[in-house]
Amino acid sequence: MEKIIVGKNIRKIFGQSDEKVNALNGVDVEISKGEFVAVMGSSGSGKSTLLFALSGMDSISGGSVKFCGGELSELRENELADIRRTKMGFVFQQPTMLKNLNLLDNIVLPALQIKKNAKGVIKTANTLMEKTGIIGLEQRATTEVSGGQLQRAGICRALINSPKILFADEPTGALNSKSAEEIMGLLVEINKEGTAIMLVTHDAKVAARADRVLFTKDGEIVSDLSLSKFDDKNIEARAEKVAMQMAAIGI
Amino acid sequence: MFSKLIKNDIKKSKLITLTITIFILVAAMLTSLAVMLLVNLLGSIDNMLIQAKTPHFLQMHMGDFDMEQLQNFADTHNNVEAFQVLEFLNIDGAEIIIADNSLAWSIQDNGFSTQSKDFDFLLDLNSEIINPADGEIYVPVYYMREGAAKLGDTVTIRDVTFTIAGFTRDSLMNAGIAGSKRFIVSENDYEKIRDFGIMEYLIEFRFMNDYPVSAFESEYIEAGLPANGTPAINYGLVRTMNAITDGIMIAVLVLIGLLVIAVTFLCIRFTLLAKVEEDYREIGVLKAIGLRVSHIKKLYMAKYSAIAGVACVLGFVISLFIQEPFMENIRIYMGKSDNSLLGVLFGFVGSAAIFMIVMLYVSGVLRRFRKISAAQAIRLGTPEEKSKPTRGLQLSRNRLFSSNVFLGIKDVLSKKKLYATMFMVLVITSFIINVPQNIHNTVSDKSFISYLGIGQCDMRIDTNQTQTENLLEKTAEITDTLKNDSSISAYTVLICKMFETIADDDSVGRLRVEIGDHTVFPITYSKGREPRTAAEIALSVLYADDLGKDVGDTVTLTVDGENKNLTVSGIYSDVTNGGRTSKAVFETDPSEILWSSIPIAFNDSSLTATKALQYKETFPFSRVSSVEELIGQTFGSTIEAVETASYASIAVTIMLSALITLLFMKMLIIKDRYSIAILKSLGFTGSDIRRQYLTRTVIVLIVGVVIGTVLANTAGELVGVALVSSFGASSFNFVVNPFFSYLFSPLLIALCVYIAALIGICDIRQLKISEHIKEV
Repeated sequence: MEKIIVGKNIRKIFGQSDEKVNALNGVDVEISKGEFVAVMGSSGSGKSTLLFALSGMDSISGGSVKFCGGELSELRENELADIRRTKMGFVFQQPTMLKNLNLLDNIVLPALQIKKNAKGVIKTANTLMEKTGIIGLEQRATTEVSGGQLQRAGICRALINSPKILFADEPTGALNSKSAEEIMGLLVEINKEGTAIMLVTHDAKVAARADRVLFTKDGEIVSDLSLSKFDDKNIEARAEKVAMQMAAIGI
Repeated sequence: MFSKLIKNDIKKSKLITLTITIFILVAAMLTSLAVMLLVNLLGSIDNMLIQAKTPHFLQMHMGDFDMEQLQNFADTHNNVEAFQVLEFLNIDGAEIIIADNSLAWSIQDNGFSTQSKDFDFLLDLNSEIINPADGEIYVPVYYMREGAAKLGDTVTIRDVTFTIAGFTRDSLMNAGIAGSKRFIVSENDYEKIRDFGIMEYLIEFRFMNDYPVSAFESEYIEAGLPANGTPAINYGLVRTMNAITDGIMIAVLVLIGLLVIAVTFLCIRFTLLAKVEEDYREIGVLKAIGLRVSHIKKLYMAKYSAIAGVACVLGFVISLFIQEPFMENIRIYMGKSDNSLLGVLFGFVGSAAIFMIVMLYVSGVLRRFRKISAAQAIRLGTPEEKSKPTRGLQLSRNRLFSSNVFLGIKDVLSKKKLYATMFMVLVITSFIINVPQNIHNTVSDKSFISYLGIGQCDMRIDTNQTQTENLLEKTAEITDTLKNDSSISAYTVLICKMFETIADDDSVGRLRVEIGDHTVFPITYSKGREPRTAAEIALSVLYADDLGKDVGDTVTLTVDGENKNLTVSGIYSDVTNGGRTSKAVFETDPSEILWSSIPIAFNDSSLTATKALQYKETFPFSRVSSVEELIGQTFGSTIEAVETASYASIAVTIMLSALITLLFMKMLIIKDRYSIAILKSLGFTGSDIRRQYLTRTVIVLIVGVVIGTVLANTAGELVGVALVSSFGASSFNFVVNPFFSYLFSPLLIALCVYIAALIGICDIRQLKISEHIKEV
């Protein structure tokens, strides 16, 4: 299977001299095309740091991260921005929207930045909004919709340029259980259509939808749990398997 | 605890702290300086008036008079402490040669005197009463400042030569606008030159206490006492004339100080609100654990009280050091002030007042703590964004601008209140750069004299009784020559004569009337228009006030023995002849005229200087002056002070616009760090985002500078009027230099703002997505 991301011996150090913190301590990780990888770990274990390192949103202190064969640390700021815009999508815990733009404008923003055909972009946005169940809310302000609707809009925005991989940092963390279920359903669907997903979560039930779960502890990947392809019917059993693994490694 | 908090906070925001400190420091320094100068100016003037024993009432007179009648008048007034008549030997400037250069250029009436016996003493630069030895001369300090005379130079009048032994401080005639200057020589020397000029008399009175001068003046006129020279001058007018030049400078300092304070407030407001926003969650926590709002306020006020305290003390100390050059003019013209310690004390009070005002303002801004809900602050971490998407402007419908420019425009439109700070700063800087420049343009422009009672012309030929005894013949001689000069496009003859007026209560007064065609060289009237018929008269503001008349009222004059009712057609400002003049067109017996004035316009104005020289030689008995000379010598030092202020204002503008923009952009980036992180995560590059911020800057810049420039050139007139009215002009229009106002100043501001914005937003590149995207 074609590898989208290959990370070798990734190190990330925060602070200086006496106050140094090794957030990532020589991590090796690979993500293949179309794969759904969840990252779990307790607070401060380095899971979000790993997501930022693999997506090139944060520099690394040592090691290497290759995205589609290219070394991210060797890229200039503009080249990194190009990759983020065209080949990656991001969904965060809190809906990261520009408050002075309406929903539709927020969704089309990364596409119109590269001067794509505006009509085509709006058509794609409408399709995505329909798929995520927020069609009709195009003109709403970000303050005029619910958290769940805002997160769906965030997913639409992340997908507007048809990325190879979607990075999601606790996308259901701020949602109620119903909305969280719906969002996870959407992510699974997106993954089935071929977009790789790297998802950071605390929730075993959320991680249970992934093909593979990486467990982080003290800046290292301490376990790599492979799951079979997700099927709606076996969610409880998968979640239990994840929870058992968590307990086994003391998370 | 406070000192640790303050230190940490200052460490975290060095630039912001430094900027605010500088602004408060400048405001405190200007205030302290203005207060010290004012106290010293008033002190120096009072000191000089006391040491010189300045008369409370002065009337100049030419020709014979009855000394006994004057003495009787003085005797019958119990409040008159002393009375004297001094001689003022008026010698033509062309005949006074100082170090090989004549004073022909001077438009002043140059007179020679000996030291007075009782009062109105002429003082040297040490404020000692001068007693010149034979062969010595003391020259008015005005000529020293003009660079026309220095110690040791010779002064020659015909065959008599003097050596300059010093300079005189003349409490009555010091100021450039006084119009006359006194030289002082020994009594022996005075006798040698007695026949070289025409004698004028200074009839002077000193009162025992605060006797009302206006009442004395009317009694003097009613008694028919000699009064055909320059109109009566009183103590108040003397003080004002001495204070004008430095007073204007103080007023400009105060004006700049006020604007700096306004900008400081904007700055404090912006930084403080940004800080509150940054600390929103912490404020919520402090409230939640039960700290009172007043306690939380104290934490924030501690930093500002430290900054303001240091800035105000430094501002005060700096003002002590830089006051010297500002004080120089006061010291030379008026001598030392007894108030210097008092000045320092008041200067300190001024600085302390700035401290208090700043702290009150900070406290006022922090009142919003009350509105912060602890629960909401802890939950959200930031105040709810008030900006809403502007419905009409949508990125998905935008076909005109690039996304970066669009986002820049959109941001300004949806956060108008935020950008109002920057906008206000730009409006204020446009004011600061344009208003002093416009005032300078206005007072140095040729047309300015039309606001001062003199028609706009290229040259004037003035002839009066002190210069010739055959005034009418000489005036006719001049007009005969002018008729044949083809380079002249227009001229008119105005004669001045004294008439008796009968007030509404039948009391008799005297009115100086300039008679002639006032339509040829019209002046600017603050009310009404020039007199056009023989039944009309226009009054100067001071005369109108004295007589209690307005446009349309009637003034009764005794003309050639008959009472004549004249309707007031207009009222104008006048700084000539003590501000008391009037204009009419009626016929009268031309004998007993006081002087004649002939304003002249040339076909080609550039000929004026050559023509002035030519006519000075042709008519040595008259005073020929070009309008530039008239303005330069009357208001020279004041124009210079305003010019200095206008250059200072350019420096202030550069500093203000650059510093505030830098500060604003830095604060904006701190405030927007989360949005910037979002944009970066979406694939916007640092230069894309910088372009958005530059778009915002350019929009606010264009709107601010355009509105500021228009306001400065229109509403700025009101500020200008307040300042220039102290020259004696009650109403005027700004003379705007279009190159400066509409090209140079906007471009200068634009350049400063643009460069500062570029520097201010360079941090965008360093802003890390991972550090800010999680902060919600």
